[in-house]
Amino acid sequence: MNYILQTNNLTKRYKHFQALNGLTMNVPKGSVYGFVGKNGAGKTTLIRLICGLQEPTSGDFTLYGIRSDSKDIRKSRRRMGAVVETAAIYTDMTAEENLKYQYLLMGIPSYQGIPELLKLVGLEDTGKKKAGNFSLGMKQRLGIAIALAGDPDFLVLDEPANGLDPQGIVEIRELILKLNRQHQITVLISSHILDELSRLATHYGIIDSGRMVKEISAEELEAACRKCTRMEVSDTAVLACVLDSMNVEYKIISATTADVFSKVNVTRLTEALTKENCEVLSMQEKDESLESYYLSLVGGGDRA
Amino acid sequence: MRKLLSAEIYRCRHSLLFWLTLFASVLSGVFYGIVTVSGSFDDVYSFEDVFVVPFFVILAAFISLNTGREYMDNTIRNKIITGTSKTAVMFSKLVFGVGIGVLFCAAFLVPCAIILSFGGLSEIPASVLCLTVLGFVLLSVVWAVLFTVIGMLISAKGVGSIMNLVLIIAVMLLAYQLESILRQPEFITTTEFSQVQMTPEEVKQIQEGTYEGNYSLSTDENGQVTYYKTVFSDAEQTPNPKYVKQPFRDILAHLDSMLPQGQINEYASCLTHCTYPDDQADDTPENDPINAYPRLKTFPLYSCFDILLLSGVGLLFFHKQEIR
Repeated sequence: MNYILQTNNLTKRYKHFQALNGLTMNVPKGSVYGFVGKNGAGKTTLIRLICGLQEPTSGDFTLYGIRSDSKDIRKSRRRMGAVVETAAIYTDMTAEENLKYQYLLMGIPSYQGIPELLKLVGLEDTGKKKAGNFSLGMKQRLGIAIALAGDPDFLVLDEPANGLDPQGIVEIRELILKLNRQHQITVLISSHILDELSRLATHYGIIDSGRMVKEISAEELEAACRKCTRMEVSDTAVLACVLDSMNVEYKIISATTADVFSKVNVTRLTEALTKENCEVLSMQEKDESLESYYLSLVGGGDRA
Repeated sequence: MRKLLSAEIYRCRHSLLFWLTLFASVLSGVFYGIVTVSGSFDDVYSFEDVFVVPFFVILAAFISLNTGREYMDNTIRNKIITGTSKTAVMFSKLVFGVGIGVLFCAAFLVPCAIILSFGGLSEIPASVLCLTVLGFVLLSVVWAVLFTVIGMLISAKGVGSIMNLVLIIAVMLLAYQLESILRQPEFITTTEFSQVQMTPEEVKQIQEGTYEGNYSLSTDENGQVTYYKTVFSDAEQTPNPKYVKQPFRDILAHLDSMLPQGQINEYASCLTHCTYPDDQADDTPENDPINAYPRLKTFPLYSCFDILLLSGVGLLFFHKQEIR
């Protein structure tokens, strides 16, 4: 698989605080990578490191195959855009002026692409309004437009839905999906709003206390969180034979526990198991959401 | 670098702060010129403090607020995210600061020179004028570089602005203190005097009003008046304890030359010497003012040294700074 970004045991220490502790992650090309973690987990620190704002204490990363300690890493960064924490915009300039400034910064000779970019983020009608008078959603969208100014193929967004109203969140989501699907831009989004991420991400990286707890694709996550019936029986080998005869999908968890994914006639199943001298001890409906899956990985006890 | 500078110039053109402070510099120069030509300011010694220091305050205000905005709006991140090195970012800011220093200096000097050409410049030799203008331009650049370095290293806009204003006052006070120390004479002459009874001829001169000198008189019980004249005699010269000896004297002189206010004081003294030739506090030859103030020729070198030193410090520390 082709990876845009790979980190290798990345560590960052601020005086007495360890922000990243041997973080290893891989962002596939063309994905929307949801970077999930609670406040203070290390999401923003990682983004600062890959953007070049700070240096890692140890470890390294590769961006487009170029190592972070190479002189060419700056060339790689020209292919990415980022919005770190809050949108970085000049509040005393209009949206168009902010983009012109960014174009000049990047050495783009013509301003031709600016109207199209403003239209893409929905700011084509802002006219002479100063960015300082924008709503939070508009500022976020302008920040994304600035990040897109150099026509990047990798976009890093640090909690883009932070502080937005429901409509603002929908607009940002639709924009991100459009950028990924229509413009083939790989997107790394850090967030702690799991519900929002679940509508966007194709891959997830779950971080806690500066470490990667789990990396998983959306398909694998769906499989892990799939709705099923958990059965506890005296012998799962017998259960397996019976379920095979009924053409029912299942997964054996242990010698006495199994998950049954298809809808099954409980009376027929119980009768068939009883004939084989297999006792049914319990049956429970299981439907794991991303939230419960995340909490099961990082633990929610300290917030109880 | 060219891209960064183009972007900075573009931003300046759209910045109300830039145009306001540029206009304030022009006004400052106009006011300085008018007051100089009209001669309506009596206290020569604080003239530069009242009319030149505000120009540096305007420069500090623009650079501090302009640079501080980068941190407040977080736009400094955009420069680094686009693949520009921190060294290039700082270097471009320094070059921009130099440009702003020269531009604001020109905005101050040009209207001032136009007004002074109507009456204030005729007594000043061309060599002194050229050296002073060059010196003032370089000093503006020194201040601009210092304010830029402070603004880039201190991310809090308010703290950086206050520090720049405090620095102007601190440098001014330090320069005055150094000047006071360096002007101390090496020896102190203590004078003794005595009262001697005057001769009848001298008494007659007093009565006629033609006597020149100090005298006193005393009247005894009988009403007889006796005149005494004051006779001064030089005692032996004693070493001044406040006189700073070598090599510290040289060190302090170099430090005074490095300070912008130290240079301003010397330029002001030379201009005053040219403008008011009778108003000489010390014994200096009248034919060439530059010979009377030899340090003036070395000031451009000190300014260049200041610029290089401050730039080096700024580049070194900004490179290590972590951007949040």
